[in-house]
Order: sequence, then structure tokens, then C-alpha cells
Amino acid sequence: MEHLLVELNDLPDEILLIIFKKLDNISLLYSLIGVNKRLNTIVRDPIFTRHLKLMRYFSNDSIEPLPDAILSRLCSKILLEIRNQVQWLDLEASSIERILLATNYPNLYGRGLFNLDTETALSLFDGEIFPFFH
Amino acid sequence: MAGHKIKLQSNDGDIFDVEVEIAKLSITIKTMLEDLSMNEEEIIPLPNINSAIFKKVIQWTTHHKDDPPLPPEDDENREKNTNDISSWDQEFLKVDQGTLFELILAANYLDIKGLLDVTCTSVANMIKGKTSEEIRQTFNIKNDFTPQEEEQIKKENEWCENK
Repeated sequence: MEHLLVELNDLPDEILLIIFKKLDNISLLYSLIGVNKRLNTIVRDPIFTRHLKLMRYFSNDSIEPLPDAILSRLCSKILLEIRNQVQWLDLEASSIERILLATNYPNLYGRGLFNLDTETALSLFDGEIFPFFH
Repeated sequence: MAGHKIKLQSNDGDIFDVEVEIAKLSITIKTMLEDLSMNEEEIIPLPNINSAIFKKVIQWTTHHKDDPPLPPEDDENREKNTNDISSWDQEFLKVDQGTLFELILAANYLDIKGLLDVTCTSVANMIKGKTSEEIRQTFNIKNDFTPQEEEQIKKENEWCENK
């Protein structure tokens, strides 16, 4: 009997979900959005797209922006594709504007803002970024 | 009873004598023995697993027979370090992709949580940091979006950018 090699795309959805849950949402979306129709559908599930932490945490509690290559792909493609599913964004100061201006998020009900000094906060709340706060 | 063995048969006909305590790390086999009252003298068929993969499963369960049970997965706090695979498991998982995926299917069928966890972690680590094109190359996945569908997605994105 010929032995057929099992590939990633042959695994059932339930197992792909176990694998994908081991990655943080941004790593998952960065690597798998647009790969093929099936994976695209799975990774757009609300469990991976409703709450996004768009920053890096380090063990010494410091917070940094995502690497530019990831941020670029998020802002030019990924966020545009999943904008309807996004409900919460955790953002750090240096990339807030870029992420919020990348697209509109019709179902966004909240944001966590990190590393934000008062001056930046005032300029954000007073400007174009959060117009519905007025 | 320590050292007592049962017979398990892979789908290509090989019969394995496996210690009951090791075989029972598989919840599927444990259930067969305890709840379905299967006789320990009977040969238990494993129709979804070939002998090469079952040998690997026995190797893993033998090494991990004294491990404490894994804590339940917490969906809210699932973002964790995915590199935490022990050096023994890393060595054990130096196999081709086909074997790794067959091990995942076997661990799922046999319901061996620890083996399923470590094999899935290994695949997650292979995914991490790769672009979508690198994912296609690494896992031999065909892009099945037609040019028209890709164009349509692009148009929708442009539309919401301009909105």
C-alpha cells in the first residue's frame, strides 16, 4: 500500500486550532493570513482577531513597538482584512497613529494605551485619531 | 499491576506488547480497558496508527510515564513561550514533517495530551516568524486564491482605506 505523506493542510480544523492557539494572535495573523483559503478562514476566527496586542512585551516589563516589517504588513493588509472582527486593540505610543489610521474598525469598542505620556495623549484625543471622543 | 502487559495491534498488522501502565497514558486505550471492559488478553486494534508511528508513541510514553498531568489550557492566558520543549523531546521530534503530523494525529486519536501538546508546540514554533510565502514553501501549501479573488480582496481593502 502506498504511504501518503501527511501535510499541515491535511490536519483537521480541531488540530490546527490547537496549534494556532499556541501562537500569539499577531504572529499567527502575520504568518497565515492569505496563505490559502482554508487557513485564511481559520485564522480570521474571532478568537484570533477580536483582541490584538500590537506591541512587544519583554521580561523586564518594558514595552516596544512591533518590528517594522510586521507593522507594515499589518497596516497594509492584515488589519484591513480583519477590521470588522477587531473589538479591542492594545497599542503603544509610537505606533498608535499608524495603526488607527490604517483603516476604520467599525466594531472596536475599546483600546489599551501603553507608554503614553500626557502630551501625546492630549494631542491624540484632541486630533483626528479619536474624533468620536469629542 | 506493574509490569503487566497488553497487546496492541497497529493498522499494518504488527502486534506490540506494552505495559498496561504505559498504555493507559492513552485515554482512548484506558477507556477501552476500563469502561468497555475489554479483556486484557484480547488484542486491541489501533486502526488509525501504523507500526512506525506507534513505535514512536511507545518511545514517548515510556519516557514520560511518570510526568505529572498537564494543567488545563486557559484560553485567556494562552499566549505563552512556545519554545519550552525539553531537550529530550526536541531530540525525539527531530523527524520529517510527515512523521510529525502523523504523530499529532496519533496523539489526538489515542488522546495523549502531553504528546499532542509537545508536537503541536513544535509545529507552532515552525510557523512563528515566517511570512505567508515562507509558510507555503515550508509546508508545501498551494495558494488557492484565484487572481480575481486576490484582486477583489485588494479592492475591498482600498475601499475601506478610502472610506
